Amino acid sequence: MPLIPHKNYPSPQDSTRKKASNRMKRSPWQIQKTVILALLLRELKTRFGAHRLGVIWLFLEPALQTALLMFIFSFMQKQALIGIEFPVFLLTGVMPFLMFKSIAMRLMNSLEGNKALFAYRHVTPMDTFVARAVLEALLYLAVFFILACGLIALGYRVELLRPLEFMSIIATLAGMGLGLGLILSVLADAVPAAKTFVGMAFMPLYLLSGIFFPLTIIPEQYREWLLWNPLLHAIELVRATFFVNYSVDNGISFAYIFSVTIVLMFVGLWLYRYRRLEMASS
Amino acid sequence: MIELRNLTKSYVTKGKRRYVFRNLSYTFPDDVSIGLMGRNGAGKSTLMRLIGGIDTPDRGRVHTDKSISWPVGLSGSFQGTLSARDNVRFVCRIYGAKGDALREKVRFVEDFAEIGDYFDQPVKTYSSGMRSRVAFGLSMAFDFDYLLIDEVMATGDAHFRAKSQQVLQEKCSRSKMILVSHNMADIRKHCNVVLLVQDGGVTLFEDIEAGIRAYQGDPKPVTPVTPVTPVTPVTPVTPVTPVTPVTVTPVTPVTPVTPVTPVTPVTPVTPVTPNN
Repeated sequence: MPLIPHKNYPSPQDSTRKKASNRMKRSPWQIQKTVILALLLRELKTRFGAHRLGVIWLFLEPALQTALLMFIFSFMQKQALIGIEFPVFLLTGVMPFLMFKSIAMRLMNSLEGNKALFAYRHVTPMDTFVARAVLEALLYLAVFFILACGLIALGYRVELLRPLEFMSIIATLAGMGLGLGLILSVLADAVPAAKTFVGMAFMPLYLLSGIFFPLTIIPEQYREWLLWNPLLHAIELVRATFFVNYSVDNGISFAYIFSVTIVLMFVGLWLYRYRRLEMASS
Repeated sequence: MIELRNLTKSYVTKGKRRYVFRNLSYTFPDDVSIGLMGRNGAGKSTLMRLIGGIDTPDRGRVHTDKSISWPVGLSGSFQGTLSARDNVRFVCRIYGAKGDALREKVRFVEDFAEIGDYFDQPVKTYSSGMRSRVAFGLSMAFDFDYLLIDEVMATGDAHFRAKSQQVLQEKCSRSKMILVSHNMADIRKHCNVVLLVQDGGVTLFEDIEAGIRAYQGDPKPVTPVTPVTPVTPVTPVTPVTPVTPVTVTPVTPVTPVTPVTPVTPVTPVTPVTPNN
């Protein structure tokens, strides 16, 4: 076939050929790392939509919830909690909850958005899950600190007393979100109708997770029921790292949320392992 | 080396499981470009997807120490809200390019696609031609040992087609191809051997013409819905005989002309009856 003359395109490898020829085969770990990093950057760009309205919502959602709860509770006779600033108290409840919810929900919807990527052989569903979970955790952490700074600017006292403990609780909570998200994504892949239901299930959880009340104001006999909820544990623990004299119920334990995380991860990974072929096929 | 080990792949359609391959073991010849031929639905594309790691086999595995591309010209994986630049960057990152190498690849794709300012616009605003320009350029920016091509050689306008043919030709000096095509001209032009995919097995023909004959001599009637070859005779050195849809032939035993290594499908139940 007579080729139409046109400028000769240098192949991009021409200058890097030497490098390419003695290029080492990448180890699985290197591949994993680059894939997750690439997905992270990609998710960061797509997360907020074309018009960047998502960024505003990311800050507005927790800020509005905090403000709304403050408004509601300003009408009520609120339990005097000595040495605790109420908006700080609310924010420390709202943020961990939203982070957890967001991780789980975005993982559930992850396959839809990323299915086409599995044509690149290095990209697996798990990579997209991990990338999303990491991104959500980092985003909400950042928002948390920015809003906390906002509260400081408004004259409230926000003090993180034990940052390491705080970070380990948040990390565990993110892991729990990842575990639950894995389970939900398998569920959503198998039964797409389940998605709406899952969204609704977070509503009662919001009320039961101690976002706007400390567990200690609940009568003793009901506490053991509420204590089944690991989010309640996480939120109470987070608060204890912010307030010097925050009294925490004896039933609250880090070991509990850690075990729940392990169990959810185990179940999630097992289901993923079982269904990964169906999930990856487009 | 690309080796299939006990490869089994099935799909469930309408509640019925249909096996494309069952316990297929086969070692591909080295250093040759392979043309995959076969009827519609014989499993050519499935085989290609399995080799490319896009699909996962039910059982068995594809073993290889070569780098294998994604299907050349794949644009379905572009994120619509991102620009071509971002999409290209993403793929480059996955494949381990960073820093200067990354920039160089992006520049190459940008130059190759020739879509101007659109390169920085969201992909969803592109025409399909622009999409495929970017996609094809992206595939060409990498040095794979094997390029997987599933009949995408005829996209774009004449100028772009010529350009892509040329780049593809250049690629051949260091990359081999695994080409799925019904187009004899493409097979003749790019491939060294023909691998006939048939009845869940594969047969290698080292002589291209023999392979093409075996493919055409397939006594099974070609499904009339999809005419097999829209042969646009590209290099009519040898007059391309368009596939004459085999008229009702009595079941002539297909004589595979010099089948070098006839890999019999490993389904052991049926003895070697000519074409079921």
